[in-house]
Order: sequence, then structure tokens, then C-alpha cells
Amino acid sequence: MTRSLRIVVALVVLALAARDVAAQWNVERFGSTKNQVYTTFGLDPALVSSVGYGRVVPLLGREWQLGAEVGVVAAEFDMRDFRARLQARTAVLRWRSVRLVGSAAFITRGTENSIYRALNFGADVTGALGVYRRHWFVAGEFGRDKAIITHLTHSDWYRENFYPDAKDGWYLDAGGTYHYGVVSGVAIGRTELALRAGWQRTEDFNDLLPPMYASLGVGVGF
Amino acid sequence: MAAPKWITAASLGLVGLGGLACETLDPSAPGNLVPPTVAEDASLPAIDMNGSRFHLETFGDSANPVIVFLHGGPGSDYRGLLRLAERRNGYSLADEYFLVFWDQRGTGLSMRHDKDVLTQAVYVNDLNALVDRYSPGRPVLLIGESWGGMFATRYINQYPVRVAGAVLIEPGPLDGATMERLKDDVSGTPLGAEWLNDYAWASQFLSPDDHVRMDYERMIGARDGQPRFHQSTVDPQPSWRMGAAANRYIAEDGQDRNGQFVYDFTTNLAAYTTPVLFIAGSWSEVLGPSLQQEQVLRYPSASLQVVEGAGHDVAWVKATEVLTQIRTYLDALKGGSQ
Repeated sequence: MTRSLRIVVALVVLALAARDVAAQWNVERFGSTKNQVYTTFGLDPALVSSVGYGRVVPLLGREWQLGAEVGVVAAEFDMRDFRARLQARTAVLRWRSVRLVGSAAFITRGTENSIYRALNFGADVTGALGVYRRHWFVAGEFGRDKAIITHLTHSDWYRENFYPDAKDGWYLDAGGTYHYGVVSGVAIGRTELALRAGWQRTEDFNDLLPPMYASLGVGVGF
Repeated sequence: MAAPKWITAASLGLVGLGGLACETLDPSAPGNLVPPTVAEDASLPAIDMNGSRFHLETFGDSANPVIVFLHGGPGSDYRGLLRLAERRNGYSLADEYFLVFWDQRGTGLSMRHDKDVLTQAVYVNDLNALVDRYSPGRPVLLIGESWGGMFATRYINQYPVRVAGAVLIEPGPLDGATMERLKDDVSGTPLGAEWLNDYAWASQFLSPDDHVRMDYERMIGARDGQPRFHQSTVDPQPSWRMGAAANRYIAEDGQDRNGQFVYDFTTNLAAYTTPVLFIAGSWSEVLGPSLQQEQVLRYPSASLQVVEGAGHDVAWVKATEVLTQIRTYLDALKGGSQ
């Protein structure tokens, strides 16, 4: 089986077997597992299923996992509510088994609800500090997801029943969220399970609904 | 809070293509996402009272007995009650009464406020100021829908002599114990509900960090958020703006520190012997006939009329039938018996 075929098969199997978030995988395994496919399912911030692929590459004297991930809102499997991420992760600091892991992602998101259709471009920067061993890790994470620019198109229903003069167009700096919590994982052979859970607030630290996030992911390295 | 500049620059560089050349909009600016309020648009009909500015319209002769309309929510507005001001079957309430429609503090097109003045006590003071202005020395009639029916009851409980009669259209629970029993039905939604996931997902696009974005986000659930209310999808009850802060803080004002509803608007209703009319839509499951059959018993003299073929939005979708019931009730009050 060729490498590309193995990737496709693994993605399909994982998508069928489980369902996601922006998973955190064990940086201690970067040296032995160059490629990874994964799937996650969780509340982040809606019920989201994702699949992704990451590849470890040496860059600037470090090992980076560069990857791509796509997810859709799992409620009624609504393909209009989607998220795509291009991301990079690396261990920024090391001391014995302690690692400070940094990640950055460029995000494209879409949604359609009763009052608008939206396309958004944003970015996420997250740091995780914890203990990383070869077969397990646990860390605390803190990150910020910024909605940089969002295009809104209002629905006919909104115009007819609420506000006919609502303005369609590109909205700059429309929002952002902070997230903070715990991320942990265990490895069994080539398979890695990762759990991520915590709290989320707006960028002004106001409440959000839901106030928490949680996701479970499974990845296979090769 | 602004994004770190390097994130903004890098992302815009990747986006690159379309958005950069376009004029961008401010999500918090008045009039972009939700309508401007009376604090921002001087052309809207408004009055100043009790330290705020209210969106308000009147119909009829001010010399006639005054009917004050109390809209639902808390946080909605009077747009969805305006059919009750229309002429239907050759009759308008404005022929015999002076009708006062107003958006309660922090709602609809009235001025926005923060938490400190969004309390039930302030709402009662606002209504007192309204009564003093339009019906000085003379009791008013109240017509309240949903939260408006609760608000009317709270007012009657405190100032029975200021109210000449009341029509309560599917009022919510009149005491905290009943609200505790029904709150999952009033606000509960399955985790997998499409609208709830839309609502949660939307926080990644516009986060509720100011009044405009809070109000805008609040409207995502307006269409599908309460399926057991059986509100019309072909003739939906309209609104101008959901006042998210008013919705939250007026409700919280009836709760203790643990979030338990502890209010009781019925402690002094025994003093109010004037007949009261309750109206419910036959399809309404949560705040409909079964609840109102209980709640009429809280008043010494009250009756319930059920309008067929409507849900919680009965005052909008069956306005003609509701007006007929209101007229019959008011005629009976004038005649001294119901």
C-alpha cells in the first residue's frame, strides 16, 4: 500500500470510527512518528467532528508538526457550519520532562443560522505547559482565538421580522475568545488518545454559552 | 480588545484577496446589525422619564381611559403587540381607550442600560412614572403578554389601586416555585438542537462583548429556540431588538445566589378583587391553557379564555379573536360585571 493510500484509508476509517477539536498531540513522539492522521469529537464550542493530518518537519533547529484539519458541526451534520485550520506546533522550551508547547493556527470558518450566513478568517495562538513523557502527557493550556474579519449576509427572515436595514459586508474585529484548561493523552502503540477540556470566555472575559469545551481525539502515527 | 498586530497582519496576508480592498464595517456601530435605539436616532418617537429614554407610541384620545401594553421577554418589544392597535371587524380599541405602547427599559428601541438599573423594582418605578404621565390620578388598564403578564401581576400585587383591570395573555409563572417546575420547559433545549449549536458556533464569529453584539446574538434563537411554544413560522411575531441585558438581568433579579427562582408576585393579589382576564393559545404547551388554569386561581376573580389554533404568539396570529375577547372583557368591566 502506498503512503498516500494509507493516509486516505486511515482518514476514512477514523472518520467512520470516531468523531473531534484542535487536538493536542504528544510532542515527545514527534521524533518517532513523522505522520499522523487523527479525528476528534467534542463540544468546541458547538458539537464538532474533525479530521486532520500532521507531519513533523525540522525547521529552525526544532521539530514542528505542521498540519491541516477540517471540522463540521455534528448537530444534524450541518456542512454549512464548518472550520478549517492550518496549524503549526512545536516545543518552545524544554526542561527534563517539562515542555512549553506553542501552537498557532490560521482558521477559516463558516456558518449559517436563522439570522445570517457568515464566513470568517481568524487565528488561534495557544500555549501548553506540562509533563510530556513518551507514552503520556498532561498539560495546562491557555489560548486565544481571534475572529479577525467576518463577512455577514443577513437572512430574509431576519430582514422581514427584525431589521430590514441590517448591513451585509465585511466586519472587522468582531470577536474573539480565550480558552484555558487541561490537555492530556496516552499512547498505545501507534495510536494516541487525547483528551482536552476547559473553560472559554470572550476576549473581554464575558460569559459564553457553553462556558466549557471538551473533546476526545484519536490519532494514528505512521 | 484588538488582535495582536502580527496575527492580524499574517491572517490578512493569507486572506489577502477579497476583503482587504473592501470597506469594513464596525459590528458595534448603531444601525449595522440591529436597529438604532432612541438614544441614537432622534426621529424615533420617544419620551424621557425616570432617568431613561423610552421608545413609545400612543393611539386614540388621551381623555379616554388609558390602556398600557406590557410586552414579553423580558427583553422583547411592543412591535409584536401592534396588531392589537389595529381596526379589526370595524372596531379598534383606540375608539374608546387611549393606547400606550412602550418598549420597557433596555429593550426594543428604548435606550440600553447596564445591570445596575435593570431590576424589577426599577421596572415598576418606570411603569409608575408612565401611569403618572398618561393617567394622573386615574387607574389604568393593563394588557400584558408573557413576561408582560408577569410584570402586570407584579405591579398589581404592589399597587392594586392603580389598576382598573388587566388582560394577561399567557403570562409566565407568577411565582418562583412554578417557574422552577417549568423552567426546563421554558428555556430547555436538547444539546444537539440545530439552533443551539448555531448559537454556540456563532461565538467564534461575533463574541458578545458589547450591547449590540449581545442583542444580535440573542436573536439567533428567536425562530427555533422554543418549539413547544408552537409559534407561527409563516406569520412570525416580529420584534425590533431583543434586549439581551434586560432579558438576563430582569430574570436574574427573581433568583437567589444559587440561581433558584424565588420571586412571588402573588403575595397581595387577594387585595385585588377586580375581574382579570387570562387568554391562552390552544396549541401552547408550556405557558398555555394548562398553566393558566392554575394561574387564574391566584386572583380572587379571574377567568380564562382559550383561543383555538394558536401558540404562545396568540396575540399576533389570532389578533382579531384576542381583540374580541379583550373588548368583551372591557365592556363587562364598564358595565360593572364580567
